[in-house]
Amino acid sequence: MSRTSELYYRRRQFDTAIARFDGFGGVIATSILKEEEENKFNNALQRDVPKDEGTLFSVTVGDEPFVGLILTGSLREEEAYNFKDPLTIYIPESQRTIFNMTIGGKSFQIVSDRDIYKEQTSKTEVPPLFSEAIVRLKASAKFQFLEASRLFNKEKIDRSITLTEFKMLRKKKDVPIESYLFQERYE
Amino acid sequence: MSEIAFLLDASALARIFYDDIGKTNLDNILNYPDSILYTPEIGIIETVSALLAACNSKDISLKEYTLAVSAHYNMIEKEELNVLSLTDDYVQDCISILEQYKTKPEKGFNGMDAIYILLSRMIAHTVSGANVTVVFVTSDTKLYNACQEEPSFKTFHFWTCDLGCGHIEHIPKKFAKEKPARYAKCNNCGAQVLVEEAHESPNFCTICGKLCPDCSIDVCPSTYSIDFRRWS
Repeated sequence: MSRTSELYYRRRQFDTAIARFDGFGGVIATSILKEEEENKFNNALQRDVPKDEGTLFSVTVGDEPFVGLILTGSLREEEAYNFKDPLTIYIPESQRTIFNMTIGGKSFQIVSDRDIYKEQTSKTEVPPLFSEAIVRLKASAKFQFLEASRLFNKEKIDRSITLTEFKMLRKKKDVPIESYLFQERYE
Repeated sequence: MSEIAFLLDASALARIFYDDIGKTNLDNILNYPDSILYTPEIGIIETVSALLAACNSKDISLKEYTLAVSAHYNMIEKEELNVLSLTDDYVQDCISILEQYKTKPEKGFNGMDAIYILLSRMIAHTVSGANVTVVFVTSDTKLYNACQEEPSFKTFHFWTCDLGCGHIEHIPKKFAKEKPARYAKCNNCGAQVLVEEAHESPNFCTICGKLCPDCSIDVCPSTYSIDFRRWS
């Protein structure tokens, strides 16, 4: 099983199958790939990914180029080619999927005709939206996405409260919150 | 329609917990189906600080503060809000931004808030070429004014309204309320003397003259609705 929290890259147009790339134990378990494809993928990574260099990985679904997914040098942080977060992408049923990788200036292509739809959809949720911005920002070394547990003391948090629930529980609806903020900024 | 990456500053982030003018605009942004919300670390710190200031003023209880923080936490954990930290040194860039804007009075925003501009720029740069529009959302007019000069991203003042008449997009001056002139009786001659001139509300329609004398959510007549196509 994946050791990291599951990350969904979401796309509305494809509410179909999901391909997951989970990284663990030094092997990338590309569950949608056949064994020989998976080996090719892993060999390419192990051979050619420079330590601090990003890896461009794009997918073509049917005739439509999927968005480029860029896997950063974080792959190499543990020297085990682990994905920092598993990638989840959406692939329509029974379509040929082409995985293009550019690793350290070299390009590789893996073609998979495997129908992953039946294997994957029963156990995964279909998130509502794919975000190209999220993909690019997560791939960029310039940004770090901070987890909630790094920002707040988890022990003081009520994990069940949503924003909607909070609004139902608050005593006053209208608090001049910006006044407090602007006081701190400007006074 | 392109994807919209909304970067919220603390005024927008804190506002999602409590209602005031601009509430409908923020609700629309939060509910817009192709929107992803971002904020820098400072957005969290400023928001918490504003919530605690509200505690100090007895506007909210500490228990309610904890609930607000919990809702905040859960939004981040569910990726409904993405908190971004810059990995490179950014002080020089912030100083450069401050040097660009700080000397202009109408754009003289608080120093730390340069981070919002820097982050907006960097997100816009990173997603350039993709079908993504970056929109910085704030109610800080100085910050908003400065961002008008920024070519790489859009800025939205979430207090934007239509004054109820629908003729114009107006950014209200919330704290400038209409006041009648004040007179006092002269002790010597008994005449009425003007002590303070009348303050007319700056919140009026330049087309039909419709006036909002008191900018408050209780009496807000705005029917403004964000046209998200402007960012597509």
